Amino acid sequence: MAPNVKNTNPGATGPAARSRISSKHQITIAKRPFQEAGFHEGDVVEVRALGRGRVELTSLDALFEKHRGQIGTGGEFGRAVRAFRDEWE
Amino acid sequence: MGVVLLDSSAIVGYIDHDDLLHRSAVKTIESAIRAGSALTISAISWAEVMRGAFSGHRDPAAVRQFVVDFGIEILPVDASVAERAAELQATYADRAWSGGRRRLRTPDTLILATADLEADVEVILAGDDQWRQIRGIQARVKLLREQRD
Repeated sequence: MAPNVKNTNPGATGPAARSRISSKHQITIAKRPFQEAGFHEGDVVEVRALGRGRVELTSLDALFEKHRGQIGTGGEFGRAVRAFRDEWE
Repeated sequence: MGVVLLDSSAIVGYIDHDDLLHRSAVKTIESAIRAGSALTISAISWAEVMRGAFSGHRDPAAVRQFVVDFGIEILPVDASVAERAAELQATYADRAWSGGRRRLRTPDTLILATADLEADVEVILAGDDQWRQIRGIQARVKLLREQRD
């Protein structure tokens, strides 16, 4: 691994680190980006290709927290959606 | 669980913490994702949820982001789905099947037909208990339960 690669990503919080993809498509995330991303051992991550040569890892817990119960409509949203379907009655 | 098709009620239940299905939707959807299930929705559900969003219940961009972040595939309604839906609607045209409560509505049949024809869909996650009475659908209906504080 070669740490301290110049950071060219404005969204990144620290310098990049390198890892090699194994024959089983596995990689090791270097300690610093691992910690800065707030990952923990045992985390389940979503892996998304962002185009040629780029992937994004997102912790499932982070995604859940982002969307779970993000609004409180007093139940109005659900009632509205049920009403749309009832228009077909 | 293989592929899970979310009905509109499941999506709204997940993102609205006031919804009566919220706790059940959170538990079931997150369990499915952790177990490696892929999520899908019918274009019909997508239309309903986005109509709710455009009506002011949620920023439409945030709803789109929910779909993107969870990699949810939106399944189209094509001629085969329409034909299967018509078959279901004819079969369940009479209120008698539901104990006289109501007919099977067109959106219900289009969503159920979508799940039926999409071979990978194993579970339909919904809040409508009448869907469990529909026979001949290859996917199993898992019911979200209302929970009040």
